[in-house]
Amino acid sequence: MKEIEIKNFWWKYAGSDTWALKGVDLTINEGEFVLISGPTGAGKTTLLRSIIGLIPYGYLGTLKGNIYVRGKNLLESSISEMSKIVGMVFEDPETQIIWNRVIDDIVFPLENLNLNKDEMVERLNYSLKLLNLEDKKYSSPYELSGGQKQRLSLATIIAKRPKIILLDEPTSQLDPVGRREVIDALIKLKKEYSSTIVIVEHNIDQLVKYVDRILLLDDGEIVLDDVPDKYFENIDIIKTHRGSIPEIVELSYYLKKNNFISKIYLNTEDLYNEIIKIRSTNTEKKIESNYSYTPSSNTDAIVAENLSVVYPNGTIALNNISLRIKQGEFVGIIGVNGSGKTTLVKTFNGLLKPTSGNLIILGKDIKKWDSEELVKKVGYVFQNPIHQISNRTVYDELAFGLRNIKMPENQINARVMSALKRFGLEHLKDKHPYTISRADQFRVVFASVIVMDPEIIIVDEPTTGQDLYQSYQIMNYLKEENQKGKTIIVITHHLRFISQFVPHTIILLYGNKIYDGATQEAFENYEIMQKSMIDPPELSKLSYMLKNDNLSYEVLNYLKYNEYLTLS
Amino acid sequence: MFKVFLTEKKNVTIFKKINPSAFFILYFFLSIAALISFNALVEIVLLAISFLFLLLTKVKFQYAKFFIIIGFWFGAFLWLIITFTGLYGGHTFYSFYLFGALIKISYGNLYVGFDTFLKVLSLVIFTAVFVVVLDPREIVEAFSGLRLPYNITLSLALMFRNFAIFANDYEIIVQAQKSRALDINKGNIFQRLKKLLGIIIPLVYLSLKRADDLVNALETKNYDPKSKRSSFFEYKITAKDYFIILFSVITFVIVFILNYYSLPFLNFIGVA
Repeated sequence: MKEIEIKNFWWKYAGSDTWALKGVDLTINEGEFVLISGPTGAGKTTLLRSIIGLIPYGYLGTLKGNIYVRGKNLLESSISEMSKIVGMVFEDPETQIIWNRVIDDIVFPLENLNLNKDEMVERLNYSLKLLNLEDKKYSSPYELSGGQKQRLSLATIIAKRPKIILLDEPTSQLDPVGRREVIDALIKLKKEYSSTIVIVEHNIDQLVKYVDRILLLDDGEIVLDDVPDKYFENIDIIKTHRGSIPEIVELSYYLKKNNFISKIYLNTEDLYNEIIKIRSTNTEKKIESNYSYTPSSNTDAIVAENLSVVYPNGTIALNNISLRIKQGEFVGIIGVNGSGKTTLVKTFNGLLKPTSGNLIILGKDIKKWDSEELVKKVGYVFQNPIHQISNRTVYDELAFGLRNIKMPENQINARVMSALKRFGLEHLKDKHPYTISRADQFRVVFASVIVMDPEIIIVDEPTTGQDLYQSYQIMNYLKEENQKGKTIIVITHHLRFISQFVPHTIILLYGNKIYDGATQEAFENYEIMQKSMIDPPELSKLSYMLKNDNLSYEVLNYLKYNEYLTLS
Repeated sequence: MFKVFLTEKKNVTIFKKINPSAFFILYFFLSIAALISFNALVEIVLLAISFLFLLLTKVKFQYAKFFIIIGFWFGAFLWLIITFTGLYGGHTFYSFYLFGALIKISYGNLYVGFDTFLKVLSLVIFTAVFVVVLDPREIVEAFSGLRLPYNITLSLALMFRNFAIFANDYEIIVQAQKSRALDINKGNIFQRLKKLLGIIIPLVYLSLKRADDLVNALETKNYDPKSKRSSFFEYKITAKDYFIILFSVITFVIVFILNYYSLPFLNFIGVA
């Protein structure tokens, strides 16, 4: 049965000159699990909004074509009608939570549907059980982890018993554990409830092996639509249109292109089995992994000794952390949500004061730094660009920090113009920063920190909400700055970037330091990964499996592979 | 502090046994009683009741302290203002000239200032008790029980929810701008006001965006102000709730009557 039928659908937002969707034709059948991939701004969210009726009922714009959901014409229906059969989970779990208790949030849509008490109790218990939230029934949603919050959003939707579930980047703000929790919940839903699931996601490494179909959307048009195996045979088209490609698929493609293997694999275990089939352990010579990393300088950029931060409500955010970061290092700080990553880096530029311990920044005790001088030396790029944008033009935004430190206007102009050119922002210089894309907003905020010429650059979750291409672009910017001798500290949940770009990794868990050393050594050490509750990148898993079998292979040569990945 | 308090799970206390509507009536009449009373002795009794209630909420000491400090300083500030600028009569025991104006400190000013201090402190603590005890969801039920339209009660509950999010955004934006050398705690009052723009602009933009997200979330959760809806939680009014309502009304009436009997004293110190 056809669950969703979209016929030659066009949509243009009011005030925009371009069509967000251009003649989309799409059919999704009952029980299908469909992944929509594509670059930021491709029209993926617009497509989901159209299926549930937020477009045209919640947004102004111009529409052409038709959408049928379970045979009902969207244009002859209403949003309240549509949301009875379609449920939608948004990117940010915080924006979907309305009440202060899990139970209140789940029953809210049921009350809106005017159901009787018995029916509500039955649906509430079913949802809580399906999403493993039974013990959280009376908890405050604000006490839940990111993964649990997103599971609550799903539970709220499931309780309505919609036949179709739409998910708009549900895992983009989650750590690997939260991501795994949400994916497991979706698999369970599909198995037990035969739901039709349509998901938009950039980070698809863990997801591809479970979906039935993948769509590639670019510039409002469907470019590819196929089952995963066949979809990834068109990897050149996917790259051209900046669709996401899982690490294992990309490696498979590389190995297939070089005639090592005959097909593209979607999951690590299958690729591993293929590799050990075609290569005999006896004929191979084991290559010892070289885990060391060598900082380019012997001078310390940051030294922390027994650093602790305790919040006024008594939460121990950091517990006796000691670490040493050399000047010119590229360091990654990873850990599950709430592990203290952001708290730690906020102490580095004086945004948070340590409760106890010593902190030396660029050779000077943090207590002796003047706050204005310190922010000149330690730049900080926040996760959400909106938090930092406050000027009317992109030019003013870049000049903002320099004006605050009272630099002469002619020097400001020279610095800003040079940064605009370097980051490809010249054509946007007179635009309002709120009207440009999120990727451009990030570049604006990043450039506004770079113009201050800090010695240490801290970047908090730079790849969240960015597509794969943009994420690589951001990581390459950081690499460039690092090559100029800047100390780079990056926080991210997207471990493939840590694995590929960052030689030195610090892992935190609930305020404690779990690991401080070479990145690959951490990712290939299951004990460390388990202890820190981190799911390592798929390539690291493969490398670990191959290494355990005394197999050597190109995959162990990370440098060569990284070169391929980052240049591609 | 405020955001943590708003988002925390509520304690199970004796107040949870009271119907939310009855609890609101209790809060309302006691607050109005504190507001209309002219008698400092009555105000002290009401303040003692408010402290007792705060104790019974089992709220964490740090939150209780937070509210008491807010009430104390706000009340003390008004006391000071009234003492120096009030036009109440009674014996003037000190006077001086400030910027050419004669400032008289009278018993009347001191008494009204003190009474206002007690009023403000009681009101803040009663409000703290109300917010500490009831979940936003129960606040909706409290108002719905008084036949207020659901749209209005839902808006009020969402206002509480958004306080926490707003406070969180404010905190992050202040830090984000500080990291670009914009420190709102430095400079004279005009410089600080100008700097505040750097905080307000992203805060307003984010709030509008969040409001838009909230509307989408409500719509996808089938919220329709015109449709009939059921209620999962049934809050029945029992005998103890009627007792609470009676107690609230009687307290209010007693305070009202005591005001009348306080008039000779107020007259004596030059207030009435």
